[in-house]
Amino acid sequence: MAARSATTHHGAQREQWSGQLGFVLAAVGSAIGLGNIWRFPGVAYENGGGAFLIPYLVALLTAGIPVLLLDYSIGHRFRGSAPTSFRRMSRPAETLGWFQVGVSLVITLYYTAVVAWAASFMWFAATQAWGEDPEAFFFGEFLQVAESPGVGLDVVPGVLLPLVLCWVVTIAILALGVRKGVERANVVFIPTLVAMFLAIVVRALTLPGAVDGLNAFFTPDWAALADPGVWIAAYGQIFFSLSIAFGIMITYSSYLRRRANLTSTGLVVGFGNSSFELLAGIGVFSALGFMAFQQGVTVGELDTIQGIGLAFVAFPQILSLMPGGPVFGVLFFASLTLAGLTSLLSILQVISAAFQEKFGWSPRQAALLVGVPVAVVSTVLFSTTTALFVLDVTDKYINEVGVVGSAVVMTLVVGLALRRLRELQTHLNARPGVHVGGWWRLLVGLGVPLVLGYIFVTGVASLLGEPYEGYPWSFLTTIGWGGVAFAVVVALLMTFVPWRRDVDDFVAHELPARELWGRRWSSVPSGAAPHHHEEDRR
Amino acid sequence: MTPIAITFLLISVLLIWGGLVVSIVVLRRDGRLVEELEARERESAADGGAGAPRAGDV
Repeated sequence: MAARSATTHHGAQREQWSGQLGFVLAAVGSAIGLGNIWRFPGVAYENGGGAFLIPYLVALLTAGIPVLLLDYSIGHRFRGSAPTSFRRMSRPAETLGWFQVGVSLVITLYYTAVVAWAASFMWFAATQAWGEDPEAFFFGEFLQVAESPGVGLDVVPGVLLPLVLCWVVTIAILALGVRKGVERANVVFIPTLVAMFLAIVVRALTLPGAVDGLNAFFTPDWAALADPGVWIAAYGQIFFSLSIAFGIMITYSSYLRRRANLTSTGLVVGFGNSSFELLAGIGVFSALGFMAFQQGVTVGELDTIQGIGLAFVAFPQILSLMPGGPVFGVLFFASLTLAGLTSLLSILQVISAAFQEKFGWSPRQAALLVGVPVAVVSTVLFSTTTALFVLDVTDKYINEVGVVGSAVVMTLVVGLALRRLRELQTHLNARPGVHVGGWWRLLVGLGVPLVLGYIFVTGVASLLGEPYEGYPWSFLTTIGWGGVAFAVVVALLMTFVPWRRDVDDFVAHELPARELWGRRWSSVPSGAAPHHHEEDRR
Repeated sequence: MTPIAITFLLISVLLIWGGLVVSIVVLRRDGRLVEELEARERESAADGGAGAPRAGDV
């Protein structure tokens, strides 16, 4: 192995993670997001409680981790962001990479706003500024939500300032690059997040009524297992939670060292993400049990058990009722902020890396030239009285159409059109780690496209069938389908923009002889070292 | 808590958190193999053998 710390990239040094730990923490940080805390517990409860564990684990092992490994193998083998990696796989496939960048662009616009809300609520929690009516405070006083959906320009100063601050912090971290920025932030943020959330869960478990909440969460409803909708919900939860198939893990794995382990890392990231979800489920349902106890109702009778309402309305209600509420309120919203920030950084890195490679920019240039315009658009759209409507619709459409569509197309293109799965399987097995068998190709090439294809078709049919949440069709078309169309336009336009350097001047790794990659790694094979299997010529 | 809820709590913890622990153990083992492999390559490179660095090697 060369003693150098980074590969050459377009005449400059390509960045790398400092080691396996930095990558694992960044990947876990990307996977653990707001959805782990406010989506998983509610989805599990509504889809069979304890019995949901079965489809959830099946989905993790048959779709989540296999697609995670697909992302890793693409990024690591072709050493680039999504557009670079797909281009090196097949020239026309570059468009798919840019579509993933477009999807990431749309998500960053509103995701930052939610992180900014959580950061604001850290301060509100210290004094319990929401008073007696957290719902009126959140929707009325804080967001000042307009009476009807639309795109307005009435700025809410209380939202504008934290949003701008959030963008400044994010762009600053991004400008520092992969190792000094993204990795260092995750190395600090993720352990802090886990420690804070553990403290919250321990406190929630000691509240009166917590047991009722846990009973509601873990008691299995076996009939649910016969409902296909429950299985689809499990696949959807795993898929949206793991940050897969829209460029993040491709980009992150491209910064791994040549020999780095991929498969075992994928297992740690997959189970790490699910472990945090389980922790969140225990904490959230203990707290909901406490709220139900205080109100003299059952957990099933509570109005809000997931989503924005859970975080910004139900939790403030709980915090107002519990002893030590201000302290645990600050911890809860700090956890939300960190979980969101680490995911936001990973989505922005997808965009930054793609533009760095296309135009030969440095991380700092990309952070400024891409990050600042995106920040301006985000601030204009999401610091106004209509932000909540725009956010709700954009989130729904870009996830159900953009992200799922990207995953379906990616698996079909790589597996069926380009037939690269065997090569990628070999790449995964050519370094120490858990051996990946032919089952992986079957799952990624057939099982995942079928399941996600079904989710995609039913999702689109639902969006076309009746207006989402009763919004006007004109609003849904402009904002929802407009966001998806924006990602498509980015994909088409950027594909035709010429590369600053020759991206095709790249020779993929020469794969090791079959007798080497066919074995399961339990020790370093004698004579492995002198073989130089890979060359990355740019 | 009811016995069935406790059972599912324990199963969840065992499978998911247990899965994480096993994965970390496997990753640490594989990490040592990677280090060993890289050390051999460095030695080989120092000897000017086939493992000597080329442009673009990581």
